Amino acid sequence: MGVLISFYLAMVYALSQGYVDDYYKKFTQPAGSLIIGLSTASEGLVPDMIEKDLKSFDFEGPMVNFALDGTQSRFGNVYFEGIKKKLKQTTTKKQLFILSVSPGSFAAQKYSSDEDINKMDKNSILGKVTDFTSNPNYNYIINTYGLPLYNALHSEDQWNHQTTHDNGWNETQWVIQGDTIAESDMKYWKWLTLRYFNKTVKDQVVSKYRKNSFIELLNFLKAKGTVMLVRLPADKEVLSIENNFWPAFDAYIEGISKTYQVPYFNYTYKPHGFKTYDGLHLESESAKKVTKILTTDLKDHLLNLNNPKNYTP
Amino acid sequence: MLFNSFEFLIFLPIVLIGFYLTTHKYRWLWLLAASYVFYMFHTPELILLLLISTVVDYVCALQIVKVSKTHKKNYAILSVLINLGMLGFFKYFSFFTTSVQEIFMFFGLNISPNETRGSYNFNQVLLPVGISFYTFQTISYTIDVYRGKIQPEKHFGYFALYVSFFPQLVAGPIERAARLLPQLKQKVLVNIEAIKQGLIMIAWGLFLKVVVADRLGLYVDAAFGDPELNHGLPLYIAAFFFAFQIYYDFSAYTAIAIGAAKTMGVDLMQNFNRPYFSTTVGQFWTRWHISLMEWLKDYVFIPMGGSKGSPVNITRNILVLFFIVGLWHGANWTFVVWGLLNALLLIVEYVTNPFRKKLFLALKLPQKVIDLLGWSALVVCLSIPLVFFRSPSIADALGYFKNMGTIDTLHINILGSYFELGLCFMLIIMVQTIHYVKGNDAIYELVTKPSRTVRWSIYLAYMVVVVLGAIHSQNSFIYFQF
Repeated sequence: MGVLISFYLAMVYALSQGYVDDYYKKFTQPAGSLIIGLSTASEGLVPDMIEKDLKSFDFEGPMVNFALDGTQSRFGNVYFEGIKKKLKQTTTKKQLFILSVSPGSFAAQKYSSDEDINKMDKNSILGKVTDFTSNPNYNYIINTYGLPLYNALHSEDQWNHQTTHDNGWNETQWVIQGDTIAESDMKYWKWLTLRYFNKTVKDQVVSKYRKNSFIELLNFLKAKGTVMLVRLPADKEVLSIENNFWPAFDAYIEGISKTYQVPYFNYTYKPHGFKTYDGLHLESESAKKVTKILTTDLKDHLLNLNNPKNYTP
Repeated sequence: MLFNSFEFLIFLPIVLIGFYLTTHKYRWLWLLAASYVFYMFHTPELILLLLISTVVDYVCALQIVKVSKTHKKNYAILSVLINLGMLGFFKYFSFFTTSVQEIFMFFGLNISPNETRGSYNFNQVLLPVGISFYTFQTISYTIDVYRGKIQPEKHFGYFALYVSFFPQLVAGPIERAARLLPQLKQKVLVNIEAIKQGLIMIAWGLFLKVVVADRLGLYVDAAFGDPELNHGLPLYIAAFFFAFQIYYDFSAYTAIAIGAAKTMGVDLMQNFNRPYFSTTVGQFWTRWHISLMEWLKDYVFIPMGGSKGSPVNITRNILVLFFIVGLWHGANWTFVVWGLLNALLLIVEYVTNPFRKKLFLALKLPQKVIDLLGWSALVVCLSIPLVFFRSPSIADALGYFKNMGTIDTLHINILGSYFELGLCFMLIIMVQTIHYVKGNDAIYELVTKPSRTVRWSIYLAYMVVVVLGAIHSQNSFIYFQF
């Protein structure tokens, strides 16, 4: 039995040294500051750019991109508890939190009680993991890795256009070493995205539970430092589905922004120049562009030069 | 507690050691406590239903032998009603209310729950794990006492243990009291050979579950999850894979159950007898989930008349039997359709039997060829109704069949790994070969008979295969949901 367990743990360790999955590296360090949200933020916001551009403000580091995706990190108690466990224990009140918001962050299955939603969230990665900061993170791999461990013996074939950085940013490059993602592929993936959204949205509602949890999270984070809200750009077809799902979303977030005195940067109005590879997720250069705009806006806000504004190019 | 969990890995040795360290007089208490801990591990409150079933049937059985003939039946009926009542409420009530809602919707009346109005939604009723198994087990006990086949058990502890014995509590086999109770009461001495055999059975079950069944499940889930996207050939493969996934998943559970019981000197009944080597539908249903089919035969099919009487009566009996088989598996019309399609296959087989016999005779086909034809037809015929079994709704199942017909590509690698796809086919061939040679319950002979060097090589290879090849994403056994 001892030999079996040792062999198993050795394989888990070997796996941890390569590519595990798109989320593993978000769980391998305590964080001073966080990016929070869904997969649009996971790919669309670059932590080291934010750290570099805002260095003069002396925010707590490291900044980790702790945004997962629509099945893992919608607002709720499970994500909230995960964020708490992720953060470094500090009393400086100089932590920075960038909350990426979209109607999807507040969605839940129709006819679900708060308990049902919480139960479903507990089945996600965030519900199964108890260790959010170790490296290697045995707890993460043992509790969430679903594929065979023989993947530890060969370099896992992560899609070569995608890189998972140590700070949790999932970068997708349109062009890599002369290999460009074909337009036909991007068209197909966009079709899949829209199909998925149209199918899913029929069974979902805007959840009071998720809204309440969002407010709780906001208050918790405000006590620890600076909080800002951002809505990332996407293709117009995707935004149309989101806005039809919750027409009053922007008004709701603007209301939150005023009530809780946190800036809200809405980058969906004019997404010119931003490229997604599937209608929803920003490719690498666009992610860097958006992050640059965000840090500029945030700098302005922090220096109190301008009021929070909607972006126009 | 799941058999394929870390907790069970700790739980079983502790129970085993405690069992052999405890004197025979109190072993029932140790096992009963362990069984309750096993059952309560995730949802403690569900123990109440198990206790209700236990107490009701214990009392009813004792009363049956005490009271007059006219009142005996009342106690038997009371036991059946209470057990079926619990089963009906917890398993079928939301199905019933949803079906009623759908009927009203068909006529344009919306009576579905409204989130803002806060009306109670019966879909929130929790389905207690194992309820379909232990209620059937206790009903069989009471009826057997009523029929005079057995005497009621006076020792409450042993009876409670019969109801809750953890290896077979949540997914069978559905044991008869005449078979299991005497074994639970007999004095068991340490038998290294039995313990070894039991552990090998457990190891085999674990391999079947995490390396084979769960691996097939990845492909099945991907295909059934989006048949429109994965139309054509992948859907045929997925239907074929599912037939084996469900078999391996369930027989894995049974192997672990039988193995765990064997380590404590208890022989649970066989629940599978090489079902996929059957050559007729009728033969298949005597080899698949044997304990359930025997139960239904003894307590439903034969009392209705069985296969005696007019063809109309026999047809009716078969349809009722498989309606119940379908419904027992789940509170959804898909399971009912699955059951009724199997009934239809049986009826067609029965009706065409004389014709087929004449045809084979006329063609002078050797028996082996007839068996091969029968086996091939069976695999195809069983896979089709299983699409309903696997689909979340009838509409989804029909959509699946429709998308099967759209063969416009040869792309079958829907998981992105030809290695894994090939491995799935290889594992099916390997397991079926082992089952053909040994059957599920004599697997240990493959390991215990060779020389020491070969044995230890097998243990080492097993360790490497399970650690490296296990799929961890599936987790619970399919039959836990029943």
